[in-house]
Amino acid sequence: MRLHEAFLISILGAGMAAVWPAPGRAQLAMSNFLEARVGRDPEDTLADPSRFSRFDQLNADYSRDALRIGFRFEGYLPSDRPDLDYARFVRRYAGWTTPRFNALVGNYEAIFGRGLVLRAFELPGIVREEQETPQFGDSRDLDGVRLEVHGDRWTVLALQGAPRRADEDPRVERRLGSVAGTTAGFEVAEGVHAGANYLRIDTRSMEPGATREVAGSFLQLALEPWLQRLGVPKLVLDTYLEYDRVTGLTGTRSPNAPAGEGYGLYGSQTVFLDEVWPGLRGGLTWEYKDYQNFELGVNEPPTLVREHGFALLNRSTHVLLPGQEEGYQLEARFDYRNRVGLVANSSRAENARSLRFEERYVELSGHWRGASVTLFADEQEDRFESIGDRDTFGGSLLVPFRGVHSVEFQAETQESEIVAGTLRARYGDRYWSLTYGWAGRLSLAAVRQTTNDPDEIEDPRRRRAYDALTARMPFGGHHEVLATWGRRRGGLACVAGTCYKVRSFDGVAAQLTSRF
Amino acid sequence: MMRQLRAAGGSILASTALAAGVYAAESTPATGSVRAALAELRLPDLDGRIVALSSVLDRGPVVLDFWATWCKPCLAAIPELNALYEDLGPEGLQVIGINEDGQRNAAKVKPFVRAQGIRFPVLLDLNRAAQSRLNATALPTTLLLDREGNVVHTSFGYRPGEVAQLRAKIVTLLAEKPAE
Repeated sequence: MRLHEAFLISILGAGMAAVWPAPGRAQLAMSNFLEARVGRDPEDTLADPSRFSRFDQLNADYSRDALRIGFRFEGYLPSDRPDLDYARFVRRYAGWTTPRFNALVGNYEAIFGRGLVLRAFELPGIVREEQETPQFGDSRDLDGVRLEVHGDRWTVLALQGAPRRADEDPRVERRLGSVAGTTAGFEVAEGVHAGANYLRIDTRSMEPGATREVAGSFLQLALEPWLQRLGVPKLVLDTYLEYDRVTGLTGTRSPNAPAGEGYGLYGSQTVFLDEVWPGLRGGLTWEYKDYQNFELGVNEPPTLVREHGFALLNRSTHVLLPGQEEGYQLEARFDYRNRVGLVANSSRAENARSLRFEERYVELSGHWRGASVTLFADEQEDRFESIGDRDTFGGSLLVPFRGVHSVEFQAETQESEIVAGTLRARYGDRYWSLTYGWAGRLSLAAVRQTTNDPDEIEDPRRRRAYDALTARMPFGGHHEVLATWGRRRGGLACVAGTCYKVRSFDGVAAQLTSRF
Repeated sequence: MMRQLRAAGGSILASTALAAGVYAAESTPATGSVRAALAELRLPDLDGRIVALSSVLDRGPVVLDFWATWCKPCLAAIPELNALYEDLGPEGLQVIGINEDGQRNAAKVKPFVRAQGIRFPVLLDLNRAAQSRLNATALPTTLLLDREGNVVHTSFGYRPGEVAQLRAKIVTLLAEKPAE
C-alpha cells in the first residue's frame, strides 16, 4: 500500500471517529518504539563504521463505543543507504465489537486450533534486519476481513485475507496469494472441547493455477473436574489431538504422503499430580508430531523442541521443517515446596532424508528468600546442521539484597562437533553475564560471549569475543530506555516459539519504548 | 536532510490525522485506555474455556502480566505476583497472567503453572494477539489498569522488588470509588 493511500485511510478513519454518533467516551491509546544506532555489522566491511540509523514504530488505537480503528506507522532511515529508507503504514484496521460479535477489516491475527493449519501473528518488539534489508518489524499477519461470532459454549471464526511473508521488508510487496476459511469450536461437556477447521489457500501468484484446501478437526480434554467427581483429586489429565489433511499440492517434499496430498498430526498428553508426595508436585507431558507435505506458508505447527532462555541454548535449536518431519517431546517436571525444582526433557525430530535432531536436557533449581540458583546440562545431536554432538552446561545465580537491589550472574559453556562427510571439527562457545538491578530505577549488565566457530572465524586457534554493556532505565511509569554499547553476535534467536535470524552489530544502540 | 524530514513527517502526519479526528469527536478523549482492545480479545484458559478479556475490568483494577515459561525474569516475578494476588485479591484486585509461549509450548504451560504454584488465572495467547494489541513489546511486561481500562503503569522486564513497588499504586486505585 502506498503512503498516500494509507494516509487517506487514516484520514477517513479519523473522520469516521469524528462523526460517529455514539454516546460512549472516546479513548485513544498510543505507543512508540524508537531505536537509534551508530555502528555497523562487523561482517559488512564496506559499510561506514560510524553509520547512523533510526527505526521507529508508532502505534495508535482509537475507540468509541463498539468502533475501533488504528494503525502502525513504521520507518527506517540509515545515513548511508538511501535505497533502504522507507516510511509507511504497515498496519491499519477498523473493527466493530459487541458482546457476541466481532468484525475487523484490515490487518489482524488469527489461529485455527494449535496453529497446524493457520497461525497469523506478529512478534511485538522484535526488529528484523537481513544483509540487504532495512530494519523492520516482524509481522506475519493477514490483511483482509475477519468475523467472529460466539455464544457461551461455542465460537465460529471466518476470515479472508492475504498473508504476509515474514522475511520481506515493507519496501517490497509482502502479500502473496490469499486464504479464506473458517474454524468452529464448542464445549461438548465440561472440560471437553471439539472443533473443525477448513482453509482454502489460493497461491496463484506463486504457483499458477494452484489452490490448496485443508480440512481437519481437533479435540481437547481437560478431565480434572470429572476426576474430582470420581474421588480422584489433584490429578491433571489433559489431552489434545488434531489432524488436518491438505489436498491440491503441486509438488511434494515427503515420500510418506500421496502425490498432491499431505497431512499434519499433533497430539499431547499431560499427567500431573499436585501431591506426588507431601510437598512434592510433578508430572509428565508427552507430545507427538507427524507433518508430511504440510508446509502451507501460513501455518506454524508446534515444533516439539524445548525453548530455552539460556543464551547459547536459545540460539542452537532446531527449526521445524513442516514439509516433512516426525518426532516427539517428553518433559518431566517436579517441584518441592517451591524450594527445589527439577526439569528433564527429551525431544527428537526426524526427517525422511535420515536427518535427525535429538536433545536431552536436565535442569535443577533452588529458591530461598528471593534468591535463586539454576544449573543445567544439555546434550544435542543435530544432523540438520551437521552437528554430530553438542554439549552445553551452565547456570545462573540471582541474589537480591536490601529489598530493591539484586545481582545476577549467568555462565554457559558449549562444545560442538561438526560432522560433514569425512570432515570432523570441534569448536566451543562461552557466555557469561553479570547484571546489577535496582527495582524501578535501572539495571546494568556486562555480557561477554566468545567463540571459535568456523562459520565466524578463519583460524580456530583464536577466539572471537562479543563484549557488550547494557543499561536499562524505566521512567515516568510508561517509558523505558535501553542502551547498548559493544558487539552483538548474529545468528539464530528464538522468542515465544518462533525463531528468526539476528544480524551482528558493533556500535552503540539506544531504544526508547513509550506508551502514552 | 530531506529524507529525514520526509520520514519524520510521515509519523507526524499520521498522528495529526488521528488526533484531529479525535479532537473533532470529543475535545477530551481518555488517553492510554485499552478497554476497546480488551473487548476484542478472547483467550483460552488452561482448560480450553474461552475467556473474554473485557470481563476482567468488572471487579476492579487489573494487573496483566505477560510471561512465558522460558523467560527467566518472568519466573522470578511469580512469587511477588502471587503475594500481590493473595493480599489484594480480596480487596478487588485481579491479576491475570497472559502466557506468551504460543502453540509451541502450550501443552507444557499447565504443568508449569501447577508446579510453580501460580495462584492467579492464566490465559494462553496462542497467536500473540493480546501481546500485539496491548503493545507488550518485551517479556515480562506488566500493565496496571484502572477500572476504566486506562494503563496506569507499564513496566518492561523485571528486577526483584518491582512488583512490591507497584503495590502502592494498586492500593491507591483500590481506594478510589468506581465511577458512576
